[in-house]
Amino acid sequence: MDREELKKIIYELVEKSMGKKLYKPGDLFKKLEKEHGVSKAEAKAALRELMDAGTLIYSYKGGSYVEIPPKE
Amino acid sequence: MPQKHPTPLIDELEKGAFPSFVKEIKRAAESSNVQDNNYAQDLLGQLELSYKEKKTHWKHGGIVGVRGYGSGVIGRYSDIPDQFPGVAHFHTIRVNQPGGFFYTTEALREICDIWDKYGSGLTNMHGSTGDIILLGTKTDNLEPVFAELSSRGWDLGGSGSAVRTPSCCVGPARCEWACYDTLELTYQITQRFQDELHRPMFPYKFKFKMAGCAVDCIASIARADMSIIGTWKGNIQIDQDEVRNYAKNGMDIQAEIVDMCPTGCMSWDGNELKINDEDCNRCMHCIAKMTKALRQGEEKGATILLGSKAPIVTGALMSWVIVPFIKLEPPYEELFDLVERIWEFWDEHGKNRERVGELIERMGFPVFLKETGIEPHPAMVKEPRRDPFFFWSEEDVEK
Ligand code: HEM
Ligand code: HEM
Ligand code: SF4
Ligand code: SF4
Repeated sequence: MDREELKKIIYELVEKSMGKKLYKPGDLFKKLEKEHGVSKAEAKAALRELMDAGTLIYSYKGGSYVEIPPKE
Repeated sequence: MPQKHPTPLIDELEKGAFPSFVKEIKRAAESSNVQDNNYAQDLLGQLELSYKEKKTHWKHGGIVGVRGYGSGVIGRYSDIPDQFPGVAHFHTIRVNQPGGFFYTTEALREICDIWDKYGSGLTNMHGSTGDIILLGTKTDNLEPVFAELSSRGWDLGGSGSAVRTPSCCVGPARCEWACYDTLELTYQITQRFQDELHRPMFPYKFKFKMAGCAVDCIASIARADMSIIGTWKGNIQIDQDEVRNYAKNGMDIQAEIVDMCPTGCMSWDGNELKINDEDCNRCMHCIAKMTKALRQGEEKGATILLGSKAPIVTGALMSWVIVPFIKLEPPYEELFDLVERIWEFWDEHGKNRERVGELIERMGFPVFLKETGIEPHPAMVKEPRRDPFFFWSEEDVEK
């Protein structure tokens, strides 16, 4: 899958999860593999780009989750 | 700056023989080296109030890292910031310590100067994870302090559901008992698993601790998900003249050595010390007591154990053996490959906040061995005098 397309899918998944059951990075990788046949390495690389750009952030709520950064 | 808040209750903690954190906070509150004394000033105030009310005024908060990182920063806020604005934010930064905790004085000054500039000036050398702990700064300072630290070659450590900063004993740098190079392995693990350290992707935390021998100066057996502990094959080397010297100089070899050997594999007839090495479990007791007379066997390596943790609410879990003996020399591919298989198993089955040891307890050791492709071995003891991992599957049993 094209990297940009994959990033869009991840972003939308995270967007929909906000305020509900958040994803852990591992949950995202499993879902992408099952539903889109994306390998874990690919998913990791895409998530990493989203994090490095600040589009997504990690949070900690008794475990580490992926979220959209709060708007200031 | 003179003390802003009176602190009669916590002043009590300055009394007595032990070092006092209250004294240190007061020093940071008054130090002219610390750029912003308000952190330590208001920390004293808030702490005094907590002692009075018997109630904490810290709350957790979303911040976990700097841009791109999902670990290394532990966010804390005061729940009464109007009263104590200096600690409205009081985040902790974990900095990856050097292997074996060796520093030049220059490096220590550098860390302290950076922290005097951006934070409270308070540090904890070291946290029980092993990291350098820099206590107390505000959100706006996180990116600048990280930029300054990393421009000088420092990096953040692990936190959250990630690989935690690996740590080790001083190893061959200072200790003749090191059965492998703990410093080198710690460095290589840190480099190899950078991604897993900074970008949490596991069900929960994962700690590596490397000890060069069973004396285990890093307490690896009780608090690492993976404990890598040096050991040897072959016979303990005995210098009988030196043994007799110990006896002559007043050591009661029967009581202090032979009777304390946990496997009862030694004997002493007043002239010669004998060891039945087949039964020795390499506990290091005798060698550590008679350093001049006894040396480890010549073929050195390590035992890999899995699964300990030191939780607060339920009891501690000790690591148990999964690889009885492995040669540990660069490039360590065999070890890294094993680690990755274990993580895959954990990723696949682990529940949120379930450590790998708990997962194995839940699913059973046979399932773990099968899925990771580790061969069962009689040395896989879980605790002394208990080996619960003998099992037969249907197809092994002749009917
Ligand atoms: C500003 C507030 C606080 C921050 C930022 C903070 C942060 C931390 C950090 C970073 C560690 C791990 C140190 C390491 O790497 O080993 C830690 C450990 C711990 N904290 Fe806190 N903490 C705070 C307040 C508290 C309070 C108020 C309590 C209890 C009353 C507490 C109890 C503990 C305990 C029991 C440990 C484990 C001890 C250890 O592993 O050595 N913390 N905390
Ligand atoms: C009910 C009381 C206590 C609880 C629940 C508690 C809990 C803990 C925990 C969870 C750790 C971290 C272990 C690890 O993962 O390395 C720890 C470490 C430590 N505790 Fe406690 N503790 C208690 C009392 C004390 C007392 C009374 C002292 C000192 C007199 C103390 C001194 C330490 C020290 C020095 C460490 C660090 C050990 C290391 O770095 O290996 N603790 N404690
Ligand atoms: S664990 Fe063993 S090798 Fe490491 S410093 Fe302690 S005694 Fe030496
Ligand atoms: S190392 Fe431990 S088990 Fe082995 S002979 Fe010495 S005391 Fe006994």
